[in-house]
Amino acid sequence: MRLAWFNIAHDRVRFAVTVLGIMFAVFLMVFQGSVLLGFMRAASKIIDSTNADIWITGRGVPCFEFPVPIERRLVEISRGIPGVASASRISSGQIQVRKADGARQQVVLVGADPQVGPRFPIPRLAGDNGPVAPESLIIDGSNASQLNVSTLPMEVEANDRHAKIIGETSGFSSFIGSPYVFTSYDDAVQYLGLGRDETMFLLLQLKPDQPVRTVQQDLRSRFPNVDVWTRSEFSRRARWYWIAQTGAGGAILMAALLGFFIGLAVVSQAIYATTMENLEEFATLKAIGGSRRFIAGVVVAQALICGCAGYLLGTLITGPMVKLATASIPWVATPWWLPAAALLPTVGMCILASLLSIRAALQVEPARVFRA
Amino acid sequence: MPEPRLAVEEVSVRFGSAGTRVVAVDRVSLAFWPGTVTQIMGPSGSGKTTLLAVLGALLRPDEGRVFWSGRDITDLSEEERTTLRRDKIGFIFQAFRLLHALPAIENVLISRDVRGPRRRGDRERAVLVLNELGLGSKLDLKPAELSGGEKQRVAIARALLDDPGVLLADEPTASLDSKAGTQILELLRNLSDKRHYTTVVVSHDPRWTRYVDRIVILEDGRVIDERNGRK
Repeated sequence: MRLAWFNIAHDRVRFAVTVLGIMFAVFLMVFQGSVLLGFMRAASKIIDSTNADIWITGRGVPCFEFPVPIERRLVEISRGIPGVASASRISSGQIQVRKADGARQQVVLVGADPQVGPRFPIPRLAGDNGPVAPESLIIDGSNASQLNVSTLPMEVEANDRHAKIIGETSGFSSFIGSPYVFTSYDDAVQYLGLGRDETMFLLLQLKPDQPVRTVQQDLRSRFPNVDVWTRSEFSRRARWYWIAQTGAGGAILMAALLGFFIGLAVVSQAIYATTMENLEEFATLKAIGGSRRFIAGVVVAQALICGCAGYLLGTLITGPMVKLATASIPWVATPWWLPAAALLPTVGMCILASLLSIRAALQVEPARVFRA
Repeated sequence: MPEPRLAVEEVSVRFGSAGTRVVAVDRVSLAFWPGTVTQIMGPSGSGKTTLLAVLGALLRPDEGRVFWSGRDITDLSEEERTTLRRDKIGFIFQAFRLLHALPAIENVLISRDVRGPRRRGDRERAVLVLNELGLGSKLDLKPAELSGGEKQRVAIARALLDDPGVLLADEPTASLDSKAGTQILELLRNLSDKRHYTTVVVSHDPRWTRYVDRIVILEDGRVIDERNGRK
């Protein structure tokens, strides 16, 4: 380790360049990881914010954002099924909100019954449990400027009907471009122009100790024309759709992989150059009794020292950069374990980068030490 | 007569393939005893350095046997040869072969590092050896900051740190001026006398004849003459 450190410290410019390269790679990995994680969370945020045990959706609905109407009578039928404690509804769809300046903004309107759960934003007249406020909307704070909302309450038009934005929530920033706007279920039906016999999502809460799978199977056999999911299943389905089927996750993952490979290239190049420059010295080490393990250890230690320094700097700059990024990507999320988890690929990257150099160092013939 | 510490019997080393084969060492038999200094001389290409590499377990001969204190070491594995070099042999090279990034003290301690983690007292011992060689004030200087003679003394300190028993030196004075060269000659002679080292020196330097016990002359890979040195 000592020799590795001296070797690296001897060429400070190369060390600095290597560390900067790794820092950038680590930053890219952590940042893209944050984007991916935030994207996944955002993709299922609305589903995860309900208390429902079971979600009933139109056949083939891949996620919350692309609903298909289902028959409203399923709500009443569900309430009579053994094990079901309550049934509530959510409707959603694209509408246009006319802002104070007259400009129109496309939004995703989400209207829910109050029973969907306390974490779900529903406009109320007073407190968390007060009566539902009529013709009222709630927006996510991160979309306030997009909707030109400077003071609350604010009168707007939703699909040419009167509405009033009365509050802000947080954590529901949209990842699809159009902001989410929340209202009561009944108002959503009006704004969306939904038919009286239709709804979009049916959410069931089960009685205590009811096995979810059993009720789910029962519902599937009773309602063959719709999809019946547990909440976690629908959440995963939504995440999978946005991550895998739209290609968005692939693009983010590619960027994270790009970070890994940039780091790999930088460390490989630097360590290989250092090794080749010091090839005679590795021959000397072998001649004076340095084992293969010792030689490999020196090369790996050089890479790991660069890796650790780059990792520390990379994680240090990630925090402020993510904070900066939240101005334009509010849903980006960096949990504490993400930078920690980046240590593993960083170490892997350094070890991988050392392999070629180790090979060169081990192949050097110790007898060449006698050459003048 | 005591057992030789190092010996080769009918050793041959060939380089190249069938059409261009060169016999570097040709059926050489020699023995080296503790407390003696042997100089190997000969023209360029006579096989001196190749023979030194065989003696130092750096090169496996194509034919013949190599013995270490009576033990046949010819067919040792690479790992065993590495261990033998590490524990029993001190090398001194014409080009010093110091590690350029390390200060003098670390260059000496590297011979301990190849054995494993450092122990208490290692550094003190390295300082002691460097002091004995007159380098007490140069511990933290890197090779680029040392003169040729100083570099060679650091290299000797590295070779001596673990009291190897055998010193193999390849043209140790060739890169030095006259004064520094003489200092090295005297140093190696004293080490053989005081510590009973078996010292084998490959050198063209005629000054060695006054310091060595035996001179071996090689030509075309063969021993063509052996004579006594100072004694």
